[in-house]
Amino acid sequence: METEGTVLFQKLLDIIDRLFPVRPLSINEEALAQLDPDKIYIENVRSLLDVSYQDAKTLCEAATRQGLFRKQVEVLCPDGAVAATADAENLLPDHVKCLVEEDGELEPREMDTNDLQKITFYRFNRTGQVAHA
Amino acid sequence: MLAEATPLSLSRLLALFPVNALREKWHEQRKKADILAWAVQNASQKEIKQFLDEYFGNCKQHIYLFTHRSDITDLPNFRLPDAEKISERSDDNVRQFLYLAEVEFHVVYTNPLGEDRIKFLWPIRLEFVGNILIVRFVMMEKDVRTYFGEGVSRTVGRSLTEPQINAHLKNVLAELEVLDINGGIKHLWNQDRIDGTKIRYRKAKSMSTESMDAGAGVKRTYPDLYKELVKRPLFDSTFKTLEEDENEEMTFRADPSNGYLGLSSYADDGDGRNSFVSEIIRHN
Repeated sequence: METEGTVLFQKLLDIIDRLFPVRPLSINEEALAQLDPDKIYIENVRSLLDVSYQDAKTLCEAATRQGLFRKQVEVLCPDGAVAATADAENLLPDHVKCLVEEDGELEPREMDTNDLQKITFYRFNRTGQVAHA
Repeated sequence: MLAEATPLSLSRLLALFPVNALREKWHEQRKKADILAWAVQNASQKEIKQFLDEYFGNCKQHIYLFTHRSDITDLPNFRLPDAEKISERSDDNVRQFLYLAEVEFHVVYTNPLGEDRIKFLWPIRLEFVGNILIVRFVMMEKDVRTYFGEGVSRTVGRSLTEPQINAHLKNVLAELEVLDINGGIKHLWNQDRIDGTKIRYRKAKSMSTESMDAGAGVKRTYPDLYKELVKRPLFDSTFKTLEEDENEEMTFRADPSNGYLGLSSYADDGDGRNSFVSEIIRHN
């Protein structure tokens, strides 16, 4: 039975075929079905398709341009927890709340977003129409 | 900077290198302190520069990896802050620069109470390999008591740091971006060249850490977990090379999603260590 992830990923495979027409890619269909359609890191795509980081990034960006993906940015607290998410880095809040360990206790602290790590990820754009090249 | 260095600064600089490297260069079989004293008094500037260049790979290092869009045959004319370029090499698609930066540590003494500012010479190497930039910092000892004994309580500041150098490079080089090395690390992991002893990885809604007991590696102990981990972006993690590997065994830190490697042990084979890093880069 096809899951939502598999259906959406079939559309992604169409884009892959158009971007890499002569490159045979190993695709683990079981893993594709387990992918979270709302949180796709470039590394998830790279490892599933066994391609270079740059090729995976190119694919994600192409999927975004064609409306299949929506690109987002998340900012991480020092403990790795996501503090906020936005459509672009400049749309993140200036400060976020994080739990920081001080003298053995976890204390809530407001931290400058500029000082924290950001990660790009993608999610399937369920409301958008897929544009065909 | 090297020309004006005091004997004490020179001694601290050479002390960053492993004793085997010092013995190999100056054919001395004495203790490290004796070789340092001899080299500071007798080695020429040229010899010291050659030594720094030849044995850099044997040092403990923090390595940051970037992609860039500069033409390496026509790099912008830039300097590193508080640093002197002491050598430069070009070879096919590679350009390599060795710098000595002057770093001032602000230290506090407890016995007797006081403070002081102490300068070190800090070797830094930039390697442009095609569109990849490898920034190597020789690791300075965090605990200044290593240099000054128990009377020093702690370092309260330093004048120049790795993040400052990296930020400067982002300003002077075209489109400098962090090189994600998840692919390279996982290639070595897949080949059983390394195994993870502490792995930090992102799931969809959490950052998870798997810390193995001493001597255990994730892949050999939990093969099913390993199959999950290799699909995920990895962050600040620790790996060990496996005994079957032809390179010497070592434990190292890697933050693959942030293009960072921390090699906190000396290497007997500097070229082998460099090849290890090149292989990680090659398989991205």
